[in-house]
Amino acid sequence: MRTTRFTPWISALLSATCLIIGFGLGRYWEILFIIPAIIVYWYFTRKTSLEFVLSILLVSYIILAVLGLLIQLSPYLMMIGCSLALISWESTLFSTKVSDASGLFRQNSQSLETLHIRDLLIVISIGLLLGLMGLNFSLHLPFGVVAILALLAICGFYRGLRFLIK
Amino acid sequence: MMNNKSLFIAALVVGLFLAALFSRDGEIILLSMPFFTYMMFGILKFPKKVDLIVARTLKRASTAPLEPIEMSVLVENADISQAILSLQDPLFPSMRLLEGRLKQPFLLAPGDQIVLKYAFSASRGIYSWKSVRIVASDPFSLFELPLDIPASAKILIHPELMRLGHIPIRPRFTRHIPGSIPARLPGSGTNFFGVREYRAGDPLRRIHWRMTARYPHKLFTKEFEQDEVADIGLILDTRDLNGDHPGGESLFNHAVRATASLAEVFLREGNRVGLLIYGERMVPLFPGSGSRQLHRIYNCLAQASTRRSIPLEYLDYFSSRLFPSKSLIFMISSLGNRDLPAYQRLCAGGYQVILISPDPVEYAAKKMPAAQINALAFRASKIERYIRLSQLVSMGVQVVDWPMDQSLNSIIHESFSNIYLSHRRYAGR
Repeated sequence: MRTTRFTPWISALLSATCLIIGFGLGRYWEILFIIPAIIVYWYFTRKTSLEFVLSILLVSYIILAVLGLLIQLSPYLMMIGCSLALISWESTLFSTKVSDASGLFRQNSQSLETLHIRDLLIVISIGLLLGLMGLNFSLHLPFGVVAILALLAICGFYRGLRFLIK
Repeated sequence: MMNNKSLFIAALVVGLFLAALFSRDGEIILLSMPFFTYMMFGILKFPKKVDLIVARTLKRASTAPLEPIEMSVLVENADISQAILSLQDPLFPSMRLLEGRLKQPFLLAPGDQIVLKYAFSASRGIYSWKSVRIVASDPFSLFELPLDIPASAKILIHPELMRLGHIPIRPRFTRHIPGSIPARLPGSGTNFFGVREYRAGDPLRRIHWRMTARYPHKLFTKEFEQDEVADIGLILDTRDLNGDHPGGESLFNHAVRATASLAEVFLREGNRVGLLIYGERMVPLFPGSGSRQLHRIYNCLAQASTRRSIPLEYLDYFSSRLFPSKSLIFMISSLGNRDLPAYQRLCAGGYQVILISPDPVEYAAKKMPAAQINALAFRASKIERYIRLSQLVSMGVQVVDWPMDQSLNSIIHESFSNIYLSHRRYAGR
């Protein structure tokens, strides 16, 4: 399916553009070194597991986005970039699973791909919307409250995960 | 159940939370929102239970090694909701995938069914499947529910056969059932046997006119040799005689192939064939004839593997119970150091023993790098083997020394066509 084939590349390109524009607006043009860095990284890791390579790239992207936020770059661009990076990561992993389907599975894969891309776009859009809406709210809480809330959130999340693992 | 993917996303979300906490920057928490919703969607869409009906079909019940085998796995969704499934049907280690995929994600609407097909080849053995692993998951494969659904199938990969023609064996004792082995008795065969005086009832076309002309007032009849079936015992030696010998397993595979080919030839000609797989694990198969017996033999041979070496003395307990007395025994063995007394006892018990011995010395020499071969050791091994085979010949065992680079068919025919030549080769020097 053409949409699925191009989604990872288009979203990766757009996410990289977001990052470059975000850092460029703050006059941090050193970010352009990321392009040869990605090529070099891709070259040296081409024989390792694709999931591992992509996950490292996603983590690197998020670290750069966090750094961008810390140095007061545009949070909109960082957030949109992260969402696109997630779309790229997910759709690449998905396309490797359904590629080379033949015969009866080719048709089935197409419906699966349509469903997948639709769900992915809906979910990421909701997430992005929530994030962007959150940017317009400003809550000033003392550090202790924030720490307690964060710890509660992490503990809740951890318990939820443990329940799911079981 | 969580997998690596969901753990990774969870770690990212937690990492962003912690980063936000330490940097006291609320925007970093917001950065995690797309990841958080992505994960929550997975949790919400994760199927708790899926009802599936699965059937597995193999196109053949038995086949030869490396022949393509087609496997079909039918999956039907008996649930009321749509399911995102992934079929995972791994192959056994000695199998090779030829066509199709072993891991295939697919979407199955309620009541729908799909057939996964793939082709593989396998080496000798019996392979059975009991279930099919199907993994139900959310649309992003973050959380997975593995299901092992019963779907059994079994296939026998029999040993690869060697091309063997008719083997001109001359057993001392035959069963009085028409067959293809000359029985040293006058009867209704095709080989000329002798001439005797005419008896009332002899067909006129059998009258020996030359002899009748020589002796006036008397009639003579030609006699033909009766062709009968024989009782043949096959003993496959599965003892690990060669230890860490290079190519030991392959040598054993040749022996298994030879046993299967011999069984096929003898059963095709109507003989009764029994089998004993001799080793740490004994597998006896009582004599029988026909295609069913051949299938039983293939079944036993498919599972044969080399085991720890044990003395050949235990053969005495089996031979008398398994093989009728005076029957012809084919022993397929590379011959151990202390095997001679057992052969002696077999011969003394009235069995006619033929040893088909794959030559491990030559075989190892061909498999090993030239630099590792010690010429003296190689020569000593050859002499040792030669002496052992000579001793067997002097006991009355017919020896077929099988260099592995030659076809068994030619070696057997060479040995059987001139039995005295092969006898002289070992005993006469």
